Amino acid sequence: MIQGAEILYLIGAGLVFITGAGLYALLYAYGKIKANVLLQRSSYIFAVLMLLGVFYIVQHPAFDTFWKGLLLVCGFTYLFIPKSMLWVMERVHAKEEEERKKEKHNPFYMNY
Amino acid sequence: MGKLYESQKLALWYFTVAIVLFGAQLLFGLLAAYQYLNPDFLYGVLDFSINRMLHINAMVVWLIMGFIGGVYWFLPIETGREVVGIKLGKIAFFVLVAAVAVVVLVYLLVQTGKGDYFTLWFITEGREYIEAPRWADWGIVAVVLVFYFNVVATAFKSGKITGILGVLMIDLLALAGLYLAGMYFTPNISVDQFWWWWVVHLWVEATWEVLVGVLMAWSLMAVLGTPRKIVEAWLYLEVFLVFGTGILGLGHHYFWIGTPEYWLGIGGFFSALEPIPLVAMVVHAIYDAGSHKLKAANKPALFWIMAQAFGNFVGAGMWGFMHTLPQINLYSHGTQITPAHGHLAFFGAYVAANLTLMYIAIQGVRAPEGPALDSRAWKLAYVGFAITIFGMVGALTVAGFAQIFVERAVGGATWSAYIAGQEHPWVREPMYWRFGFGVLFLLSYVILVYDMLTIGKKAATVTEVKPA
Repeated sequence: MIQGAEILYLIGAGLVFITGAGLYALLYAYGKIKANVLLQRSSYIFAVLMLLGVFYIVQHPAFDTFWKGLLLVCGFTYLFIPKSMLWVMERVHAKEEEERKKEKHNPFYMNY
Repeated sequence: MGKLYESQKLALWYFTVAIVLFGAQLLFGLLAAYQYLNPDFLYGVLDFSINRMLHINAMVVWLIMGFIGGVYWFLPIETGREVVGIKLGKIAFFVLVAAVAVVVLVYLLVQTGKGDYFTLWFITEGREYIEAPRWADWGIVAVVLVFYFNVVATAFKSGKITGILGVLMIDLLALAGLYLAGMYFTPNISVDQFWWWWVVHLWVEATWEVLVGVLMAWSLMAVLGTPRKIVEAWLYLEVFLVFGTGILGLGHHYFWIGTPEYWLGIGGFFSALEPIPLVAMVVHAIYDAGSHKLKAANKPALFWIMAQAFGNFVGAGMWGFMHTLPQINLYSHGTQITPAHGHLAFFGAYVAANLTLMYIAIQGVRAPEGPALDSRAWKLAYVGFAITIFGMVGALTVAGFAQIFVERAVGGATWSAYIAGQEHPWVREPMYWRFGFGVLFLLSYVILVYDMLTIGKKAATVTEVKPA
């Protein structure tokens, strides 16, 4: 059983974990697109926060080995999503760039 | 006015009814929120349970009508032809609107009935979120089948079955089929709930997500000119991730309804992965916004697309994950954390998507050849919605945290602990904040409606006057 305020700390840690994952993704991707090293580096602060959140949950005795393993895998997955997604996006867009140049886009309404 | 297909005119009808029902959702929501402050208000006339039912049912119906409108808007553009069976589609629209009106009148005037088949068929099925009586259920199935026929027949007749259309056709089949699961009931509450969640969860966290993925793919092409190959590649990835995590994420609803223990592991595992596609969407949105420098011919649509990507992550991802692990959910389920998550997730994922579609249609009607669609009012409504939805959700989250602590962790989930939780100032006071933010949310809606009625009208006049 989880006692007293521990449950609130665990929910808070969950929020920190997933918020960290989102902000890390956001700042990392934006920093990369803008070629802003400061933004990219600051994104790692949120990656660390994310990991702290997951480690706080993992160390709690309410979670057995299965859950500890699952959460650690989860945490590391979220660590690589921004990089891998951006990698996919850049390649797909680069491939389409040539065709895009050939076709003039009408920014209005339905002529796409 | 731009030249419109009949299907697009039908889409405008759907959007109009949808936005009216959005207003109805807010009104009944406000009444229910006020009843938290003054439980005697309209007691015996329009009880909390009825207001809540109308609030949620109106939301489900207006969102679906918006989605159908979106498909009818884009389908002729995608296939390059008028929709097959458009007359049937129009009849289905009027049947749906009439059915919704009758159901709402019965909800308001009759409200409840005995626990028999008459009530089930003609008053309410009594199942949370899908309370529509059985005759209306079959009506909904008939309307969806007509809609499905329109989509499939148009796709085949045009000979252009694109990747987006392929995903749409499969998704609509799943969406219609899953609704049937909501009509099955047994006296065993565990078995009953097991199937009921197939409708509620598998709609919202699987088939609706994919349907919105399809509509957002078309929206990105229309608003940003994103090439088809890119949106299709992204859509396939999204379908893979959403179905891969969302289908068995269903297990998080099976934790405490009497299903076998293995659902704790299955539900927890897939739920923990459910934010993955949402984080990926954030990266995608950042990429698109960054490469276009937030410039587009349809500003409100672009900003609602961005709101959809971020809102989906924050509402469904953040507020969902923090209470999804069974060890935590044991304490948090049924508290105000759940409506906090529900409000933010629906707003981010589906309201934003619908408003995107509506602004795209408005541009198609009033300024198809430009100038860019922009105004002050949409910005005001946008900021108003953003602040007030977080205000409501913040209030509910504080109340939920207090409930978890006082009622569950300290009180041990007893009846007296429940009462102590309900009377605790940290549960009572946030209900005032929620109501206040709710009123301001309604004000944002009024501004939104004003904007939708006026935005681009000058441009339309200019465009029409020019040739003369």
